[in-house]
Amino acid sequence: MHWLSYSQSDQALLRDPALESAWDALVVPGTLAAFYFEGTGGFVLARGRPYVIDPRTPLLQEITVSRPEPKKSHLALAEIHDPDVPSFWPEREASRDHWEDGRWPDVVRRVIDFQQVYSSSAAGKVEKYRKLLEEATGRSLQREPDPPHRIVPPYWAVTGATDPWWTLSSEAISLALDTCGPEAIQPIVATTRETPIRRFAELLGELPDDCRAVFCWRGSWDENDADRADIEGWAETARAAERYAIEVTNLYGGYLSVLLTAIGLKGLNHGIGYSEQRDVRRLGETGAPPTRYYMPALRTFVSRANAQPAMDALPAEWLCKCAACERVTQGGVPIVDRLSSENLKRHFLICRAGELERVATDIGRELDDLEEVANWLHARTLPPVIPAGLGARLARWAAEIRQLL
Amino acid sequence: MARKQLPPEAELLLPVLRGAMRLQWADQMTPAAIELPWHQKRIDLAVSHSRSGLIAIELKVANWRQAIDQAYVNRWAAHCSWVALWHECVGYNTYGYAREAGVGLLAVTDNTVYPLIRPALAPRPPTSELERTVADAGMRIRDLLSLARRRRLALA
Repeated sequence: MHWLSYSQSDQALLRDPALESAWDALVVPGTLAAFYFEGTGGFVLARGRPYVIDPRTPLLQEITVSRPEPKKSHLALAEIHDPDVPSFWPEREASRDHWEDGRWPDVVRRVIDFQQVYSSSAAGKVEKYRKLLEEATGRSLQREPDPPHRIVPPYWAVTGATDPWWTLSSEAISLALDTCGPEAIQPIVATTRETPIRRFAELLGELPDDCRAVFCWRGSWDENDADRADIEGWAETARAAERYAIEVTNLYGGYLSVLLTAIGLKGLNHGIGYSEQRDVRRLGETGAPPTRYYMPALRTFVSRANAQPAMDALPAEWLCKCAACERVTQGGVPIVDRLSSENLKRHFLICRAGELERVATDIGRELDDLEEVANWLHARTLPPVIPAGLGARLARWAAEIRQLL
Repeated sequence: MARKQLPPEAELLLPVLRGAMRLQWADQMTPAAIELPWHQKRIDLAVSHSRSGLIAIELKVANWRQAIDQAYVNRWAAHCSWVALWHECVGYNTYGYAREAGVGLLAVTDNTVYPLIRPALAPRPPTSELERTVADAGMRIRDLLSLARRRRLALA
């Protein structure tokens, strides 16, 4: 399943009928769902696609890095978790003791309740958004708004099964299972940046038997730096998922996560052109980065300034021929300067959907292609606009995945 | 022996502007801009020449490789791209690297610049948007000369 992190600025893209098959479902940040209650609700509910609301509880977790001034949306989310928190946070951090003083079951109930009633309580602007969708697609969708695809219990970033924060997360999962039933929940298992990926495999074993699907999120895991242990960690997680009959989706992933779907990952989530990794300690730092150009042959983003020189250095047959790029192609080369931010994102989404399809239909061929690109990169002196070490990275990914198939 | 102190980067602007006029890339009234934003980067100096089009110049005292890398990317933003390096920091390897990158090389002295390598043509005609930005900013070479002189005085 190909999930996208919902952002208000992407509404037009998410309505685009040409991108209908490029994504499956939405992960709606709890901050947006809580603060832009009717606006977000109107869009999400009118859209008629599966969605979950990520409660983003680690936003409230004690952190050692400096915390930016919370936005109103952060305070709104804090209030849903615990109405006491905004009275002292962030001047004082909410320590674990705070959550362990007997209030946790109420916190869990409030967060679950917010999601359960969302489709009826946040429906004030559904008609407005239905009209916009109708204008964009020419189809009308007149049906009752769906509840979330699954309920996400509140969760914390943990180091493993012995971490006291996991005790709280685990309790929340059990409570959610009791309240909503096994098919209706999809917990987020989040780990800190120091925690090895393979720890997910252990944590899956700690989940209640009825749990059928989870999102996994390793804080700050940057695929570009992934080593053999990371990839094997995901493979181990996929094996554990099969053993326990749980579907695992990487909450923040990019192309490597697409490859990992060939070895058992159920899917991945990311923003449109951003958020392929996320630091659990820095959920307070919001806002998308400047739009970049996704180089499909290189399976990586490059800055807008570097994109044209990078494209001019590549063989013509590796350049993108998607609908967005075709419109700005000159002499067989897309002119990135002529792509609007929206079209940069559109291009990315088309590319990502293509990657998922290729991996699903013929992983062997995809890996062959990856190796061909890696060899090409290895064989020449590259201009400085192509990230150093990219060839080695692609070759490593191809070799590791091939070994795991 | 004590290491010879290099001039601060801000010192390069005045000789480069003077050199641009001596090389007839510009006169006092030619539109020009410093720190011109282009996507997520900034072009140190851009001169909008009536015949040659937009000239981009990266100014750097010492880190020539990084400067040439930046000037290489500028080739896609301007009609020609130069790197202006403090003359004492231009070595044998600088020539080869600049030539390979298609970047023009200027040696900067206290008072002017000397072109050592001419830049290659732009790989594709740059969009006119940046030239418009330079024109719209309303700065001219004479304004930048005043600014550079003031900077030099402040640094003295």
